[in-house]
Amino acid sequence: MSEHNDQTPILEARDVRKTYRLGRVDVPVLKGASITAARGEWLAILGASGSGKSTMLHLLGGLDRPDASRGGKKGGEILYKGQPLRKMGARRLDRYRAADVGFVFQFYHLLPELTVMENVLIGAMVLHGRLGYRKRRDEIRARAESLLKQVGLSERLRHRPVELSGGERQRVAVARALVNDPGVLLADEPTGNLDRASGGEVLESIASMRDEGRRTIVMVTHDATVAARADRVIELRDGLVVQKSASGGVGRAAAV
Amino acid sequence: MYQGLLTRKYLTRKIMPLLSAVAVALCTAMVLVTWSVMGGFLNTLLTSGRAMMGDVKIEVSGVGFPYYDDLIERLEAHPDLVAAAPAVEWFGQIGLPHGRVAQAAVWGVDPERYARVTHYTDALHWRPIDTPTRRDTEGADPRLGPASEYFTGPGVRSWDSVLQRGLSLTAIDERTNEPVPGIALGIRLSGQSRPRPGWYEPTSRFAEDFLPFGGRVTLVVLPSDTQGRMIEPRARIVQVVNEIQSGIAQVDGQTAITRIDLMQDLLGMRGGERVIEPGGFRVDIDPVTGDERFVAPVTVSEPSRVTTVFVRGRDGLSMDAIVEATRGATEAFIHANSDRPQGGLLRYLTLATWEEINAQFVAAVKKEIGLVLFLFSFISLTAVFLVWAIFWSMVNEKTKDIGILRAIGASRRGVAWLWLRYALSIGVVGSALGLAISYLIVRNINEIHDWMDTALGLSIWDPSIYLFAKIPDEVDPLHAAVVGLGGVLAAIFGAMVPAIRAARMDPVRALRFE
Repeated sequence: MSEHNDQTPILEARDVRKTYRLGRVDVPVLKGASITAARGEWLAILGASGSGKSTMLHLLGGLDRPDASRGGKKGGEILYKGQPLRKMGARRLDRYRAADVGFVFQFYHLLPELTVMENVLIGAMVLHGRLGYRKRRDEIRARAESLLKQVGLSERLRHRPVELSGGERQRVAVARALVNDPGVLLADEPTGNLDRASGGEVLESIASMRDEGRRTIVMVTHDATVAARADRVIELRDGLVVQKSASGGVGRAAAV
Repeated sequence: MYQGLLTRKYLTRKIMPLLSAVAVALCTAMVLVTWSVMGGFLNTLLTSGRAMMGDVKIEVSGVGFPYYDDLIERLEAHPDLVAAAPAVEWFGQIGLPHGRVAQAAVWGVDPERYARVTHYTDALHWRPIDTPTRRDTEGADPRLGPASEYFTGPGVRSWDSVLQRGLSLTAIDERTNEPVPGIALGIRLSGQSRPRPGWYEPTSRFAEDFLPFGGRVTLVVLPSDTQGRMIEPRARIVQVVNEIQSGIAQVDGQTAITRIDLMQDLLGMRGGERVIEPGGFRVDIDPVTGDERFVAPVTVSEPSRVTTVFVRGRDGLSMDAIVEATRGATEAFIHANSDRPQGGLLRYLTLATWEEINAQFVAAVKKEIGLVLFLFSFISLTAVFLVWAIFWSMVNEKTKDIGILRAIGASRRGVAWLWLRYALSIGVVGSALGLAISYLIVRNINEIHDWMDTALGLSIWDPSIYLFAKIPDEVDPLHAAVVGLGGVLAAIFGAMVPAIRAARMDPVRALRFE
């Protein structure tokens, strides 16, 4: 395991391959893609539908694993602070998803039975367990309220998702993703299901959560305008990184 | 933690889990009601013996056996035995008013001693009472007021005097003014009272038609000699002194209890001198003087006999210990008396508990309970299947939620526990509901049955088949606990496979699920 320091990318995909099996056919989605994200960087992965960008995000978030190495063909590696996710046990990987990264999805993925506040708190409940949560309950609630205030939803705490607009739902999702103060925010088409104005508000929310440049954001999008908000944009096409470019953002650029 | 929150939300916002809970509740209630009624029936059957025959019965049926007072003395001297009472059990015929005749088991008892062994005192129905019985909501029971308020015509007695006559089984002969044996009939034997909810209604308000006020019946028995041969039938007109309401259909419908001395007289079991070689007018020659002389009859002294001795053990003692104590005293009694006149009859003494006497029937009831419980438990598997089906469909419906939970760090075990905890809640709610329903049904089963009888003409509980007039209405807490736990386990068991399926879901596929 490599030692992590400030120069080590916080998140790295090294020559990652991922193949899905559809019936009897193997469909390669990622064919050896490599990306790195530096601490505090806002990285956009741009690509058309089917380019493998969401798959890459799932791999980075530990929701899925790259292909296993076989027949001399390596499946690649995902590293968090230099540590390969492949070597993490199930429990450590669960904790990684709960504490180290936060997900925002295109379709919000809020739990419909819970209120706005509960949807945000549930991330903390998962991380801390019953005793830990009860011990820190006030602190956690205060953080959840603060996050919801930051995304402009402090008046909607008791509302259920069905009572919110798309933009509001996505902002709840952003608050939920950050309730455990993760170092990395993984956003999968966060504006893909929103109109331009709502999308803009969500991007503003995401931007405001960069925690003065300490939080890394990896955002997947098919929209070049949205990608332009990032510090750096890479493009995925047919499972391969075909273009790396610095954007006009304000974050620290990292070498790829 | 999050499992508790989601369980609460799912339980209160979804109709499907409530259906699961209802299924668990219905199955739980079905099994517990059956177990309570059938188990209660068995329990009543096993304990009812004590009401009318004590714990153990020692007998030589038919001819009976002598020296029973010595046996009773030995039994009562044993520290584990409380009391013993002699009895003569026989079959007879009761000639009722208007030429009606009923076959009955006729027991001759010493009422005082019999009451110490059994619940005879409580079984006498006609007595003054202060409060209506539980089901007599209108307070229509004639025993609540003076008998004179209910009956008209000459011959009305106070309820208290009827009770005293029943307790002593003694009436007064109107011609001689001497005490004579009376008889207490099973309350359904004469057909002069009909059951009402919680009380009996005399069919006539005319006092002279009401047997317990001193009406007469003819008791006919067919005695046998010590060889078991039948002798001439014997009959006696006896006054009715009260009626028996034990709750045991067999006793209430086919039994009459009278005094032991009357039965011993009628059956030739009363001791005394018996002529074995008649003398009288026979003449022979004195071998010394050569004079003619009358020959004196040759007699033997015979002890009184009874067919039965009822024994009651100390409260709280096991039946085995009571039987053991009874057996010890009886063996000592046989050893001490077998060489005396008619002592040979003692070798036929048998000893049995109520359960042993009814062993075949008890075994059949136990088997029936086992079978019915097995069948109903098997039917209750539908609850497991229902929970399984509902949880399977809910896991399907909540696939995306499972993906979300996995994405925010929930472990596979945590997801499985979410569904099992959910099933546990449904099991607890369903079982609690089922236990409450079954408690209400069982506690009110007699009222429900009466209502079904009146409103729908549907009578399921036939006292002549089930022995007891009242359907058992007690819920055994242990049975309730077992059934409740079974309901909870059934729900968890039903949710097991869907929970494992949820835990093994690929989070990426789950998130993409439409």
